[in-house]
Formats: sequence, C-alpha cells, structure tokens
Amino acid sequence: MSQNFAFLDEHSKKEIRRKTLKAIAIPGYQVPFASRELPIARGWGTGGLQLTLSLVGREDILKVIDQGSDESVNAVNIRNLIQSTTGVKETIHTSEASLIQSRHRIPEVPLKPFQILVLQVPMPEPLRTVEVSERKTKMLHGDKEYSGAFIKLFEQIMKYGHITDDADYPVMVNDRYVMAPSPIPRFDNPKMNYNEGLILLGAGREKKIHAVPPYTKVESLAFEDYPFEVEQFEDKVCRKSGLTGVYMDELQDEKTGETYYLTNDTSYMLEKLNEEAVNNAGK
Amino acid sequence: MNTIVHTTQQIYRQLINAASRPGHVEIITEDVKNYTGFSNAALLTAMTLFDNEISFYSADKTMRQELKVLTGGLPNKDYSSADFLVTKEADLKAEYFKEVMKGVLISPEKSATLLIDIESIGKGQAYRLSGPGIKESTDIQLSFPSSWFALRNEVCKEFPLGIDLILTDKENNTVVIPRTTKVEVL
Repeated sequence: MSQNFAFLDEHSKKEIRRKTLKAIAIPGYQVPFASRELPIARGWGTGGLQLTLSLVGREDILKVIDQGSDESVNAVNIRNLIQSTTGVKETIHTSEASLIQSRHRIPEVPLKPFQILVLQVPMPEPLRTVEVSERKTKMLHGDKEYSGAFIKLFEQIMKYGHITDDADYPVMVNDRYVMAPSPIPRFDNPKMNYNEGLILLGAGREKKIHAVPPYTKVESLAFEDYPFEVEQFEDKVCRKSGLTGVYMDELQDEKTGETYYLTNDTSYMLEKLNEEAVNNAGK
Repeated sequence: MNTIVHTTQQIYRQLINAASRPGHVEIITEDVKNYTGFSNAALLTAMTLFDNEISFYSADKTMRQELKVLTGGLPNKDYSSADFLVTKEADLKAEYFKEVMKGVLISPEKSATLLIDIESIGKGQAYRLSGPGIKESTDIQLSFPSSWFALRNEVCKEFPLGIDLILTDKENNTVVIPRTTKVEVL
C-alpha cells in the first residue's frame, strides 16, 4: 500500500503550516491547531511529529533524539516512521542535520542558521498549575498577567528555600509571552536565548504549536534575590569520555554501588570520543 | 518525480526561512502554469497555504478564480473578515491596512496575512528591519513606498495584535515581514 509523502494528507499539512507561520510571527504564543490522528498515541510526541512531517522534504537530513539519545525506542520509532514515508537521510550528528526532532533536550552542539529544532511538548501551558481553565489562561496571556507564574516559583522558594522546577522551567519570550519550553533541563534554557536556528514546539495532545524564532530574547523567570541558576556539572566528570561541563545523567554502578556520571547527549559524546581516538592515532 | 506535494513542501520551507528571518530574501524558482497577472511566487505561495478552511479576498478576478479552482480557498467579498488578502501593489488600498482582521488579545493569530505582489524587492526605498529573527538589523530595498509601511506600523503597534506581510516580486523574490519586525525608513 502506498502512503502519502510524509504520511499526513496535504490538507492537514497546510493547516499545520499556516499555524506554524503564525507561531513564528507571535513568538512564545501558543497557536491552537487541529492535531490529526497518527499511528502513535497522543502524548508520545505527536505534536513534534506533526511539525516534522509538515516540514520534511526529500533533501532533508533528519536527526531524532529522545532525552539526548539517538537510539532509544521512541526516537528510533519516530525516525522510522518519518523515513519510511519520505526516504530522507538520517544522521546522529547535530551539525549535519537540517531538521532535528527532540524530546526533552536541546543538543550540546549549538544550532546553526537555517537549522530547525522541533521539540515535543507534553504541557504547553505554563500557567496550568495555577489556573485550570483554558479560557482564563488565554485571558491571562492576553493581559500579560503573569503573577501566577511567579507565585508558583515563589511558593517553591518559601517551601524549599530554592526554586524546584528542574525541567520545563518557564521562560519569557521576546518580553511578551511566558512559555513552557517543554521538559528540557534548566541547563538548556540559556541555549534558546538569541540562538541562531529556529525552534518549533508542538503539543499534540494539547493541540498547540509555539515557536522561538532565531535571535529572539528568551529569559528564564527569576527574582532579583533568587536569580536563575542552571544545574552545575563543572565538578562532575563523564565516566566514559572524561567530558565535563555538559549535561550529565547520574547513574549507579550496580556492582560497587558507586555513583557515576555519563554525558546525556550521546552523539556529542561519540563525536568527542572519535575525535580523541583520531588524535591519539595520529600521535 | 516532482509533484505538487514536493513543490509546496519546498515553498513552505522557503516561507519558514523568510518568516523566521525577516528581510531574508528567498527566490521561489518552482514552475507553475500561471494564467494570472501575478508572479509565480505569489501564485505558488497562495497554493502552498490555501485550502477550503480559509477565506481570501482578491480584487483581481482572474486570481480569485484561479485560487478558488486550484486551492479550494473560499473567496470572501469582505476583506475585513478574510484570512488572506491577495493583491498587487498597484491595487493596494489604505483601507486594507486599516480594516483587516488584526486578531484579538486572547487569539492574536486570528489576523489577516497580506500577500502583496510588488514591483521589486532589491530596488527602491531602503528600509532597516530589526526584531525577532534578525541579528542586530537587516537593510532591504523595496519598491513599496514608506506610506504603506506607516499604515502597517500603525496596525502592528499593539503587539501581539497586527498583520503579517508576504511580499513577492516579478523576479519571484519573496520576503516575509511578520508583525514583530520593526521597520524604519532609511
């Protein structure tokens, strides 16, 4: 059975395309879209997948990652679906990709101009924890009334002495909209600020598309006396590669019970290891 | 084989590049049977974005007929409620800027996009663009007189409300000026 190029029918693509252009014109604003049925369940990356399918063309080089890994089940299945309906080339190297779909990480290698990063978003509404009504959150965004977002952080400071949001830490885009950046670690938030590529965010279950154009101000919410801080990895060393200062996973050695760290962005680690191997061979 | 599916995909990516980098010029080289007085770039852009879920206004009868047949887009006699306006620079009216949909605060995306086929992108009045998508600033020359931009700036002064412009020319150059872009006359 033959399938339409990039799976979706042309009407669905057109709708997503129109909404994506609006999202780029209004940075950080969540544009509602129809969110069509896909062969994977909503909540498993369908927002990101629909964006990717509406964008992808035969000349694209595709990279799909899940939590920094090119090889996890979710990443492999999404990549297989896109490839089997388009025949596009794949890569694990961030710098070679023209289109990157990611769940919960922005790669360590900075985006280049004209690269597109698509992020999968589970909860696009940063005010949802303080206001359950969609109608009301839309009004709050309209009025730029964001005290709720700050109160949430303030309560965390009152309870725990510091801000406890580790992933999906809210950001202010272009001094206008507070946006949920998808559950990327705080470590990745500064990468969005005036970055050179285009970042598109898609929430399939919640039916929203939002965007951060290149060279756009993205500021993490904070207080004067409680400034925004990222996770520190300066004193941690990756057990496999010896890298430091990159985002790492904390793991436990099952035999010795000892805690160790591994670079989360596996393709970046591989690139560094290969570089090292080539350098050593040359000596 | 290159079908309309691939053509519209390529044009969409060019529109994405142009929209996310205001002032960046994309040249739409794809061919199309064009029976209208508009550029191929204008026709193809409309074919990429239009379907039966949107309404469009065009004072040009041929263009209106063609777009209706080619895309299924709904011709709208009233430009103040149309999702898209398709017009040549010569037929542009001040009312278009003043009376089109510019969105509402809870739904700023419910606004019109103006697709304007102009004389030239690259020659004419110089403008300096800045804002999201632009590293510091970009200079661009357009045949489009500054009086139109004065009207456009008036519609876009209350961000997030505003309109987005897609400009095409006879050489099939295409630029997008979203509502976030600050346009200064040089």
